[in-house]
Amino acid sequence: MSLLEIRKLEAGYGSRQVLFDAVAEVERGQIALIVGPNGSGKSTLLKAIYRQCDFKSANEFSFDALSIAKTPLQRLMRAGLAYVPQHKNVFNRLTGRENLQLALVMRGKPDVPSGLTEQIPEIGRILGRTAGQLSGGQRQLLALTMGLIVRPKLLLLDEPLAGLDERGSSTVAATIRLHQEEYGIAFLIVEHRYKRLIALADRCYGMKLGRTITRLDRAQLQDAHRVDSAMREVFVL
Amino acid sequence: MGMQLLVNSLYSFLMLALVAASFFLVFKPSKYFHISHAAVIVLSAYTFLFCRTAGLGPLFAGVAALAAATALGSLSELVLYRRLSVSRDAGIKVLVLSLGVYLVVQNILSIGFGDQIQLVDPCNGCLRRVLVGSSFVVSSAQLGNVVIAGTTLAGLLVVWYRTSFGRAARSVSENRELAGIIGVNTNRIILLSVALGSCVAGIAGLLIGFEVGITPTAGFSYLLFAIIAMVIGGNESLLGTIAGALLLGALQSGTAFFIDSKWASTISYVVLIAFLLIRPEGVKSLNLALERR
Repeated sequence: MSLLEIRKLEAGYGSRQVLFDAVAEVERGQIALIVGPNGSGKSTLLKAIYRQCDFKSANEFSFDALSIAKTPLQRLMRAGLAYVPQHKNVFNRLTGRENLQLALVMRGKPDVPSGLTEQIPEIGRILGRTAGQLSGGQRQLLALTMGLIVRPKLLLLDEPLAGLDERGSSTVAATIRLHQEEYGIAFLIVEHRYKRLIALADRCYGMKLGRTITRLDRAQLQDAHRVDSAMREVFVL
Repeated sequence: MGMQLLVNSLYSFLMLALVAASFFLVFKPSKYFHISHAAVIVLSAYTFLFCRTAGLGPLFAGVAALAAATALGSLSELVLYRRLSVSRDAGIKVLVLSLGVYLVVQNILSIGFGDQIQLVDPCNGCLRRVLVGSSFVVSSAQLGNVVIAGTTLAGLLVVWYRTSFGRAARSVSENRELAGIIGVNTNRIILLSVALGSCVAGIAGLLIGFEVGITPTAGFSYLLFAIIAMVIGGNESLLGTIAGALLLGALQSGTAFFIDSKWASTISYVVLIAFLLIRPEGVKSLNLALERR
């Protein structure tokens, strides 16, 4: 059974339905990408998995054999689910270290591991500073580290490259790859700038108007023409 | 003259800082304007008074006073405010409900104890002694209050900035949604913070009762001063709020010393209006500098 299985998911916010037929499947230790234009329901899909919006129905909606709709968020978190939202994803009044400590303590884990700065060298410059003083890229890296440091089975990332320059994007991509290989963390990533991450992905889903309309597996992702035609289908009106 | 002003300012600052810090702990994580915090302040003093009148010892009376204050704040949050927090226009509903709780408690205290000022005396007049220094005069009540208020504030700062509870409470204060996402039990943290703030308000109520006496409505003016201190301090951090209390305390003492104590409240409210109109973000640079420590 896959780590995450979603078939024909319908969800939204109160009476406003956003997802009509969302599909996704993530295997253990794999990276799946979700792409699509604004308003396609990508971020809502992540929120639905993390129980941040209203579930309506689904043929299958499970994480690690737990029914997401019936399991409280705290239980899903203990089972290894973590989420990094796109906006306001760090506490600006807390230092980098305090942000990380908070994420760790709430999952019953000890203090920030000493080897962290060797794995993510840039984080060393962030730890002692208040998050509000950091650049956008540094804040994004801190948010990603908060998600990674608890060693989840599956990390949901909403636009991790948003606002980053080429160097920042490379750092984030390398950090994701490192943690996938080293700790077997699986990722479900929503990203506008999909070209930067497509080399990492084992699978890619295209969404449009609340529906998953295309799926590309690893072999298909190697084929540039196949990817281009799939993305045209997703992004062209 | 300068020494006396300094002593008065220190005293005003510590008492204001204690009330302001207690309100900050209640207000920031919950985001609701708990007017009933004014009732929490006076309830502890009246509970102490009641216990002493019933012949109980000062230690027991003190514990009962703080327990009553903590219980009133916590139960209001748990039983009343939390239920409304998910409803539409929760802010205004909680404000009105909190005003109702305040009026109920205040009326019960008025009926039970009367409206006249009552001095809270823990030790048969020991607090009425006057100590005369070379250039200042201070009562033993003021001296005791300075020690208790200073120690309580120091303890609060340690809890807020150096413990995992403090970290969690600061995270809920800044972004409740994100705190929930990373696993903070936000309802539990809010309840604990309200309980702590109410207990500190209880300490403040006792100290006020020891020094100047208490009336059922006295908590309200202290609550307003606490809000002024929060506004001056930038309404963002506990350190900023305490810094706001320092400025307000100096202002009130200076007014009482150089003009007349009757003007102290008026000038405080003028400062509040001025800050809200001209500098609503408070003394932000001071606030941030303190936080960066």
